[in-house]
Amino acid sequence: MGADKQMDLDRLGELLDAYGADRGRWPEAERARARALIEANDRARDLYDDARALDDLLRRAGTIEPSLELKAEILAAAGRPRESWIQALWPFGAAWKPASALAAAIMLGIAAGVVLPNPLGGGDEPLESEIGELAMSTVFEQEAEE
Amino acid sequence: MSSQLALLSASDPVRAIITGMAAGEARAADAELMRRVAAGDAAACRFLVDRELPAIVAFAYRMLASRSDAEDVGQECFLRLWKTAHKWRPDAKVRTWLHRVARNLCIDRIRARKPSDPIDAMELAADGSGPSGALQQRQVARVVDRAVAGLPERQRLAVALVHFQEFSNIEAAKIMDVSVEALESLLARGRRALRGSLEGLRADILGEP
Repeated sequence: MGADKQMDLDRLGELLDAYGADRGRWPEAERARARALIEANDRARDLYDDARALDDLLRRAGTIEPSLELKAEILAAAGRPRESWIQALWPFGAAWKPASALAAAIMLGIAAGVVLPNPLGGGDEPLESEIGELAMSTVFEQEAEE
Repeated sequence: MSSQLALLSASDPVRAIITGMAAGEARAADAELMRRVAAGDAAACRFLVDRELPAIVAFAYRMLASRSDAEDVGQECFLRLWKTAHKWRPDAKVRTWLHRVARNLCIDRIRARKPSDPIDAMELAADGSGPSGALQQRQVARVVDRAVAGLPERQRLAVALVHFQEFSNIEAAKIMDVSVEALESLLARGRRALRGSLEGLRADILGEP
């Protein structure tokens, strides 16, 4: 901004209105031309002095310093553990990787439970207790025959 | 970079070197500081607090005109800085980042105030009289503070960033999320309002009619 703006009293007035008389605040591209105008033009000099008077007043504004207690509280907070529970569980980097793996494993387990046949059998197949009874009944039958 | 890292153990010379750094070097130094903060380096934390807390509290005070509110904002800014340390972006500047956070916190507090709240009585209202005679510096400061605090929110923010926090126009515009042209307009309106409200004081101090 300002590099292609003509430096006249209007533009100088805008600069002084916005930034005051501290030349370090003026846009760098306009600094030299504004300074030259102030040195060459009485009206420009008046505008500059007027801005400087307001700057002098603003420099008299009050300010505060942070208390020692505040500093101590902030530094104490810096020493506290601040990782989330996810980071605490998985301190090795991005937590989405193990979380994704866990979610995939759960989904696979559910899908397997729904789609795949029961490895222990099902439907008309005898249960484990029934298998035991059958085995025992065979033994009993053999003993009876003897 | 290694020479910048060694700076942490010093104090004043460090500030002088850092403030004199080019923007890129300052960002790199800040990134290294934040890496140390993330690693739990107490010296880095203390260095940042010493370097930035006074400016943040002063800025919040300029916006809120209340010491307790300003300190609350300063504390919240740093708590967020600590939390952000592990994911700090190397292209960011700590001072700019803190002022953006402080800006948001201050605006939230200003908007949460009831319209009838007298800006915490500005902690300035002890001086109820207008400027007259030879004013003490403290009274002058109160009058100036009250005038700045009476500016509309965005004008106050622009004036605070450029005239009190010494940000460049480009940095201040970034912090405010406005164009440089919009910033200039806010500054000009703010300064014109201040000139009007401080006219009597100016006559008293400077002996102008």
